[in-house]
Amino acid sequence: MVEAIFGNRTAEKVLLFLVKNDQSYAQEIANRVKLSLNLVQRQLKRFEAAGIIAGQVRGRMRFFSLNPRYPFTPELRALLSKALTFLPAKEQAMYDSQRRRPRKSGKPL
Amino acid sequence: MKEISPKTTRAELASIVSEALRGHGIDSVLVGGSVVSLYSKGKYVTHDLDFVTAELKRVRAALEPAGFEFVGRLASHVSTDYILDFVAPPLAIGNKPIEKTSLKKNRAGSFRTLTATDCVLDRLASYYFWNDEQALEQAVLVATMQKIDMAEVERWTRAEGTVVGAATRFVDKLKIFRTRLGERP
Repeated sequence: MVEAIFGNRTAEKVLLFLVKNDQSYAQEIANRVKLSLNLVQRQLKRFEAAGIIAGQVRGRMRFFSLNPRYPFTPELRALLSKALTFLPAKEQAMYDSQRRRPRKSGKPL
Repeated sequence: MKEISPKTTRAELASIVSEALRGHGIDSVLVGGSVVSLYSKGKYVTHDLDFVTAELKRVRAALEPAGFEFVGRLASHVSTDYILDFVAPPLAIGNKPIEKTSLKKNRAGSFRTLTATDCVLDRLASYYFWNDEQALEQAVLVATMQKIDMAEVERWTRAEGTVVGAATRFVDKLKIFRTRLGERP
């Protein structure tokens, strides 16, 4: 959809996933968008180095989100949000959020 | 170029690095926690020196002859504990491009860095966006020790809050900052 703007499919998928889910970690992104962990990690590193995304450590995980301090974040978010609406329904599901609200331990998912 | 030793101060090292880069036609601006250290006269301590430069790919070739060793974008020198990091542009605080920087001079040369007001905005941005209380402390420290433009702080807070749809939250946090400075809310 906007792959040509971002240069490659991995970059597009990672950004679309972060816009739809607000924040995530490398393994989750890789699993959901069906890319190798290595590819996703390298892309996250590139985006972080450029200041486009920011990472925060929680426990043993590193969560990434669009960097609110990056000057083009509002425009980037708008572009990606629009791109999401143009995706075929099947592809949109790939970016759908997983349950984030609390669920008591022991209850079946 | 001035020799780097364990006695080299943060500001002197910033000059040495900036001069070495300048010698290769590379402009750089010191940003981040080191600027807080400078404006707080060392009351806030960090061993990172972060530079924004558009010439990331040329930095290594410019500094290796001076004895810096690189691991990715980070550079260290055997004679100092300070670590250099090189950050991609834009030079901005949130949605505000930085147009005016401050030139600092010392016996090792000179370097460009944020103005005291922009240093405060930079710290407040971390407080506003990330809820980082340490950044608030640093903003208070600099604003207490330096003359800053409070009208600009107010204007930027409102503009930034509006752009990201968090105007009320940012203004509330500005009130906390002003209270910490001893101003009436």
